[in-house]
Amino acid sequence: MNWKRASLGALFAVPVLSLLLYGLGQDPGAVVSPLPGREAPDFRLPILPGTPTETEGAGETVGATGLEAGDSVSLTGLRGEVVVVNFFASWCVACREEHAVLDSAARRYHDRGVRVYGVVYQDSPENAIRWIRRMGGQSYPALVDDRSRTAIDYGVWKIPETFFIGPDGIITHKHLGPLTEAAMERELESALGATVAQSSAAP
Amino acid sequence: MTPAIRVVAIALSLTLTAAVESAWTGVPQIEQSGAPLQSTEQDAAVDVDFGEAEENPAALPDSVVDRRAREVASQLRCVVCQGLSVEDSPSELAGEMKQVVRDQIAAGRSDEEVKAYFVARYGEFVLLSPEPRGFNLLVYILPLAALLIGAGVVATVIMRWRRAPTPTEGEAAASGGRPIHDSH
Repeated sequence: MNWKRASLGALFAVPVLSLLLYGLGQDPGAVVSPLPGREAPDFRLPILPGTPTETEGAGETVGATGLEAGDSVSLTGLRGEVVVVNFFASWCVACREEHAVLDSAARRYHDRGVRVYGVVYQDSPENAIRWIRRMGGQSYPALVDDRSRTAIDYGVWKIPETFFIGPDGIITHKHLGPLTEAAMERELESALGATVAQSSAAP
Repeated sequence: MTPAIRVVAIALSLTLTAAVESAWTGVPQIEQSGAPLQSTEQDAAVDVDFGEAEENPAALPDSVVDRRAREVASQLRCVVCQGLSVEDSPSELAGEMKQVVRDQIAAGRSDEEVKAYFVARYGEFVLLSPEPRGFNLLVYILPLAALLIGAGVVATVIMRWRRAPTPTEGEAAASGGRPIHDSH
């Protein structure tokens, strides 16, 4: 065996193979978002009919409330609360898995200053209404995102994607894929932790 | 050092030097953590609602806006059909992204600003061609380096063929031949 040739071949092959292995180890779907740590883009979106105009606390899910002119949610109006923005659609299978997690968290954390909102992504309001009804309703409002302006503003790649926004309006975390109970609690506690740090620093 | 190894060594050194150098000097395009996103820094005219183009005495003619929107959209990756540009993709979201591009251009933003808007939200992957900086440089340089190396190898092999006589030339080869000159 010609060792010189072999080592020369290795000189080429090793870096290229390492690069290939590194690339194969990356998940092209798991795009790292540059948003966490930055101010959440503002939005003012109308509430989807059939979802509550306000998050219900421990009470029952409200039935069809009907959209009234002017019923919309503005993010800057929520400064001081922890806001969870969940992008979903009726055609999204994984969104079904996390719906219960979102709903229960919306109720349980309401009194601690957490507000949950669903945003309809690439879907008609009618489909979304039907889907929510099929899921058994929900305790938090769903919002209509005309022309996907807000989804684009948040850099949504593949739903479900959920953004956690601290009381100061800074995005604390972007969750890819369906939320689990554990992840939900962890991120909420973390975002709420920002409240504690803030109030203790206040004069 | 044989010519082939020399060519290879030079090509590899060039590649690595360029990549390392640019990694050191590259200034991150994305703003640091905590800094407000681009849209909140603009004045209200270009802020929240990109639906209406601002009433602007120096408004660009539609043809210019269309052309620039097409160019920028061709450089953005469609989020749904990830192999296609926003310009080419038939998906509804691509149409909506293109409208955002168009509205921002009509409102007076430069091509770079529009691209930066998307990169700040989607990450660099939203650009179809990665910024030629740092690790990304490998994408541009490696193919070139591979070409140089390949050319070097081909040149060397051809030179060796020329130096060694073919079996039909020379009587010595016909009678069993002297061994082909081994340059190693």
